[in-house]
Amino acid sequence: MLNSSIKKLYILFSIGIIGLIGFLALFNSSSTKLSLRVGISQWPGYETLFLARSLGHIDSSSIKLVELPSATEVIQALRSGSLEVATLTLGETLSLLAIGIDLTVVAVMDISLDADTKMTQPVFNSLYRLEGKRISLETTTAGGIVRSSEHEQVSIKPTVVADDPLTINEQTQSIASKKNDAVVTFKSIKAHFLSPGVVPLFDNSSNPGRIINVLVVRSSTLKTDTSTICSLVAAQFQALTYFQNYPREAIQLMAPRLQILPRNLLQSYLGLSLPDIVTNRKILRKSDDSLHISAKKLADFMFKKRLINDVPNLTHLIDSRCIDGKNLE
Amino acid sequence: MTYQYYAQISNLEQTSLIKVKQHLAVLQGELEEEFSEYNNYKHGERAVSAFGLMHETRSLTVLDENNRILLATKYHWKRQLAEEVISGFDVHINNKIKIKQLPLIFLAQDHMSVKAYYPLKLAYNSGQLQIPSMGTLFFDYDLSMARMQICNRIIIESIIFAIVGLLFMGVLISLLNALVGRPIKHMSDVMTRLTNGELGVQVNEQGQGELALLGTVFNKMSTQIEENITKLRRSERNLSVTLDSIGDAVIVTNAAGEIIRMNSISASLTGWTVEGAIGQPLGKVFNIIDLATREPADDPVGKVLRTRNIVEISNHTALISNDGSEYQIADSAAPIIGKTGKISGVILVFRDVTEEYTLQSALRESEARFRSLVETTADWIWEVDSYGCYTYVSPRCLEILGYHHDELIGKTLFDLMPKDEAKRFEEEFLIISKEKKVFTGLENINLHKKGHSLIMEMSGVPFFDLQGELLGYRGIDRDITKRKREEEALRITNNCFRTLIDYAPEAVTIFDQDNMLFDDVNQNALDLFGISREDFLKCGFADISPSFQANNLSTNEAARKYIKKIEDGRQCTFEWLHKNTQGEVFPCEVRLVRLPSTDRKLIRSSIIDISMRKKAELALAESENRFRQLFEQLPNIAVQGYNKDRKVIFWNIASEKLYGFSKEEALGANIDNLIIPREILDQVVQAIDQWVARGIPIPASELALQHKDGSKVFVFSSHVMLNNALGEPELYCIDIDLSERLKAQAEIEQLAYFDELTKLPNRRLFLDRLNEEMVVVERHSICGAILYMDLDNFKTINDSLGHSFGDTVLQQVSQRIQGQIRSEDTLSRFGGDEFVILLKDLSENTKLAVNQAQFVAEKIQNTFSRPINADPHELYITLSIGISLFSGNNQSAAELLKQADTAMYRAKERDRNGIRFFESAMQVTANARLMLEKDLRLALLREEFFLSYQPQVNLTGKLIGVEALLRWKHPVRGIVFPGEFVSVAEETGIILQIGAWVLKTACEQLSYWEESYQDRAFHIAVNVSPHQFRMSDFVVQVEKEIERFGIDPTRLTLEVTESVVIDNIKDTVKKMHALKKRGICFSIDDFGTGYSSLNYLKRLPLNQLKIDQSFVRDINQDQNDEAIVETIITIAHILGLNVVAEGVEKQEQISFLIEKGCEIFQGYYFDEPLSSEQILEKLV
Repeated sequence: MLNSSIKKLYILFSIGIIGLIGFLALFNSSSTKLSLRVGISQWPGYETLFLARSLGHIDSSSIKLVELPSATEVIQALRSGSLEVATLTLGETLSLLAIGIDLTVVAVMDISLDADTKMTQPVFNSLYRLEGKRISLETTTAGGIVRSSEHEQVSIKPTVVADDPLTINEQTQSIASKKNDAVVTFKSIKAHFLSPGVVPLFDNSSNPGRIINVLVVRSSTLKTDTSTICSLVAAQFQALTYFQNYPREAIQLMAPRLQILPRNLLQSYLGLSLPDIVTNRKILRKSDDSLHISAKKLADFMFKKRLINDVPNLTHLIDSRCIDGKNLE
Repeated sequence: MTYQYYAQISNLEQTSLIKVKQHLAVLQGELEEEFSEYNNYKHGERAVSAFGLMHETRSLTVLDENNRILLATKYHWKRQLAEEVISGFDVHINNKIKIKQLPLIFLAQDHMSVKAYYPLKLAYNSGQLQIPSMGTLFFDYDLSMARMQICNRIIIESIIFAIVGLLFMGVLISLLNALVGRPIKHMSDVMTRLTNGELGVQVNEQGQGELALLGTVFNKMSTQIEENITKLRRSERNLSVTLDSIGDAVIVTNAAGEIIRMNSISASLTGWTVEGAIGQPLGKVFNIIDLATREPADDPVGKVLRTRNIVEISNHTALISNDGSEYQIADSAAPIIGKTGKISGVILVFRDVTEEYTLQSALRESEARFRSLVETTADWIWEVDSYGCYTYVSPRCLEILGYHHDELIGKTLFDLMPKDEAKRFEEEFLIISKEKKVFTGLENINLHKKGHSLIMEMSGVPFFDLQGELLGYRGIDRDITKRKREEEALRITNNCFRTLIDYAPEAVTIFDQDNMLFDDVNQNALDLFGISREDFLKCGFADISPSFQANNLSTNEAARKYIKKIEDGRQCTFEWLHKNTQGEVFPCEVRLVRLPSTDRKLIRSSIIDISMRKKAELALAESENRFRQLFEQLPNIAVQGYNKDRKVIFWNIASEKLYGFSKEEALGANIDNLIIPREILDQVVQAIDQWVARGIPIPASELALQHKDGSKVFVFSSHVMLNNALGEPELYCIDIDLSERLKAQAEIEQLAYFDELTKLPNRRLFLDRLNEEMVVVERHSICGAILYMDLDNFKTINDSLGHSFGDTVLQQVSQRIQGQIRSEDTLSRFGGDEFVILLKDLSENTKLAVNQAQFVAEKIQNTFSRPINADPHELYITLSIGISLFSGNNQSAAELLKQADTAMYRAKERDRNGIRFFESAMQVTANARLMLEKDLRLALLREEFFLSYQPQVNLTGKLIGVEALLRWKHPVRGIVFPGEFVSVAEETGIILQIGAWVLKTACEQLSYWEESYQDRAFHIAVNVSPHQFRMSDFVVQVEKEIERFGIDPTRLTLEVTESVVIDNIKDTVKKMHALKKRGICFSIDDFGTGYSSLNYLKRLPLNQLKIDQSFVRDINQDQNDEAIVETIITIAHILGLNVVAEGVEKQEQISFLIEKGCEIFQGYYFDEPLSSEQILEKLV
């Protein structure tokens, strides 16, 4: 009798301890981690992430979308460690890699065809007439690339490029106040500009595929928070599918954030290719390597143009884990 | 823990307030500076956005003086009112801080966030000295995450504490268990073993402690217990042996009545084992009942305990054993009184007395049995002494003889008999007494007390004393009066029965089923089978039957079957084959019935020979069958029978064929549902009912009935009413199929109105329909149209590919055309390759109607853009279509057809594959042509033709010959030139007659001239039409004319065109050579206008080429024509032929021709055509 009750006692103790340890483990793992901050600048190609939030695909307790005025702020925040995830152009990603910020591309957000457009006042109806005029570039690398490829294509003499790089918002004001004669901007702003007196002169569509916008994650974060990152990627593609299937409804949700009329917003997507999950797999998977090759070419190009000081190591640039996820089927 | 939690939370809140204050103070400064310096939010936006990077930031907004959002961490809030989009934003607080111009930072009510309102000086307007407008900086700083983190941390710490505590407790318990728990467990185990009867067990605990001392004491106690128990067992054994040695059963109970001891005898009587019974209450083991009542008997032990006396149990008590057996017992119970005088138990002693009881009751029963037998038997029993005096009489004698038994004691048995009987019996009894044996069944007559006699049957036995002296008789008398009378009655009945059988009209046998032999037969049976009675009674039924019966059952088996049938007393009639002594088998009708006999199984069978009846039946059946088969098999005559309810009772094979219903389907079905179409159903039902009810017959008539598949069946139906055996009417219908006749009619109609090849309506039907349509068109003022179509070149197809192929093409063509027209339109074939369509119901507007007709025509032509595939060829067919439109009844159908035909010819003339509407001008032309044709025929009769002669001259201008030219002197139109009528003449074939006339006239003229002018060089040229030349008798015709007028054939030149030469070169060569032999010359007329081949020219026996006047006319005008003329002349020279230039009118032409080598000329330059007289003049 005594013995058996002692045995029972032992069993109870064991269960209690195991239970407590299990609870501890569970609690610890599920306990409140800080949410991942996703820095997103204003760009139509990134809007699907906000759409995903509006549609309720993003768990706000684990992912926080941080809205930043331009890529400049995104880059700055990444450098200061205030962001774990960000949307960047491939060029911007390479710039950051070159200065030792270890980033991994987990998805391609969009491929800009003619979205980066140069705007000018009506006086300058050809690129040649921009010689000696003041052109404003957005401070990000996208602007830099447009400038370089523009020179390659039409070989105009370097114009007096504004020494004070402007963000997109500033550009709007600058061209209106005739502070600048031309700006390099992207399509959604173009929609703004396409008001009397502003004409597009040149766009990037003759350099198709050169500007690739990607979703990047700090490599260390990807290791520790794979499932959260993958849930973000999944949300992005859910939102993209919704956008492609119900563009009108989607635009109604997206327009207020960009402070644009819905019809203008839809227009700004015309030159933008938003690769879906299938295309993403094609681009990101090792079997294809096309993004890798693009990155390599771009890195070489940027190095040649002195946009970066060193060609970074691109071996671990891409991670297709989330893209391959079965939940995306 | 709680304290810790609250301390940390409080700390968090304080630090958060400070942190927010610091952040906002900086931001406030930055923003105000920026607003005052730049009057824009460029950097402000960056700074505000940067706040979004903080995990705790819910929202940060910069508001203008109207609370509209200027900047925000959430961009979509911009330009909206703060109170509308920011949850938790308080307008009142906002207004307050703007007035006081002091920031307000506070914890939200739920302590989940810190809210901060900072007044913000917004931009001055263009540097004017004004009070700046006041905005707000609103910050919503989230604490929930941090709170949760604190909470989690504390929970984790608590869990770890709990785990450590539990581990410690576990160790403590293990220690206690080793030092105390285990020794106690050992001791408790040993005690349990002792309790379970294991004696002498010892505790194995050593040492000095309390536990060891406890062990030593226990060990001593265990040893003592073992010794005591051994003694007790020995004493017990002795007592048991003693008890078992006692002969009676002994049970000892305690004071509570529970069994404490029991010996083996009581065990065997109660059915319990000693072990099982010990401890049980006595009542359970010693279960006794009162035999009289079968109720439980009094409990003896209870009684003893109550009375403290010995209790005897009565004899009528039975013990019910455990296995259910019952013993009668005798017993006693006594109290066991202890030393204290108290009853400590009861001892019960009993024994089995069942056997004694059984013997006593058997004796009693035997006595009672015999008594009741004697008193209840129907006979009366008596005992007499050796003198016959009754010493005992059973009470029954009162009922039988009317005497009370007391009255008979002392009387002799002979006193009850009539005197004679008594005397006989006295002697009888003497014998019996001497023989000393039992007597039975002695019949004697007794007299009832009332005087009537009774027949008795006496059985008995004499009885003797030990010395053998007769003491008397005992016996029994039975009244058999009634039986005797019944036997007599039966005998009489048997005689009657016998008579019945013997005089029955049929053969009757009685068969004994037990010995399987006949028991009796009557005379008829003997006669039927030819057997004597003695032999018959040795027979079984198998001897008078063949081995097998008609149904192939063996006779025995069949017999068993029938015998079984009558077992329940019913009678059974059936047919049976019997056999007589000659071995002849004959059918019989047998009726079996079982005779009501108690002791024997007798079967009466009455047998009637039915061979004659059978023969008659067979004949009838054969006859029936023959006629039935006849009707069944009647070819093409469907016969059906119906009863008065119109149900089918007969359905022959022809009916099956005609109506599609098999006999099985039809029989029993109602005619209404079979072959009567719905529309005549009522009529048919009524007709049948009337016939059945009133005898009004249904007349034979042609009817359209219905096949199973729903199609109509046309029959000639006649009807017969017969009565069946029951007198009920039966209706028979005899239907003759009319479909062949109708088919033949249809075929005749088809042949009369339809084209056999294409199955299209023929001309006759077409005209019918056209006439009908013309009436319709007239009435409704609409238009109709006739499309007359003819395949182009169909003759060639027929000639080259054969007629059967041509037929196939025509069929396909008809199908294609049919596919292009409406169903109400009529497509008809008029024979050959001519198809005509009647388009009905066109528009009332003529123009539209023209369009409609044209559309149909074009559609038809288009359908032939695809080739026709008539294996093995693929042909492209074209059609020429003539259309005539009609809108009233003012023309005859024939006229309309003619118009369409004319239009079709026009279409064909112009270009094949054409469409042409008939126009009135066309009608004029057609009329003119008709007139011309008519006049042409008349012209020959009226000799209106004449010849004119065109002179031909040589280089010297000498008249060397003439060309005979045909002219027609029309009575109305004057001179008509050949160009106007030759084509008609050719089409109508009149050309042959005209040609013949020309040849004859020319020959005649030549002979006339020859008479007056002998110059051999002069010749006459006659134009021969291709038709004429192709005539097979052309050569003969020419020869005939030459001979007829006796002219010099060398003076005759026949002019043929190139087409004649080319058309059939073989024929041309043959004919030309034949005529050439006679000296006739040949000239090719209009040379150069047609197609020529030098090769052919070479082969022909020609003399001359005539240059067509069209070339001559163009000399000096057209170099090409000059070249042609030159070439012709050259060719002629090469071939050795003369050249004649026609139509020479000018000097230049002559010069050119002469220069090139032409030698003969004709034309107006020299002379116009002249009459024969004028020629003669010239010649002379």
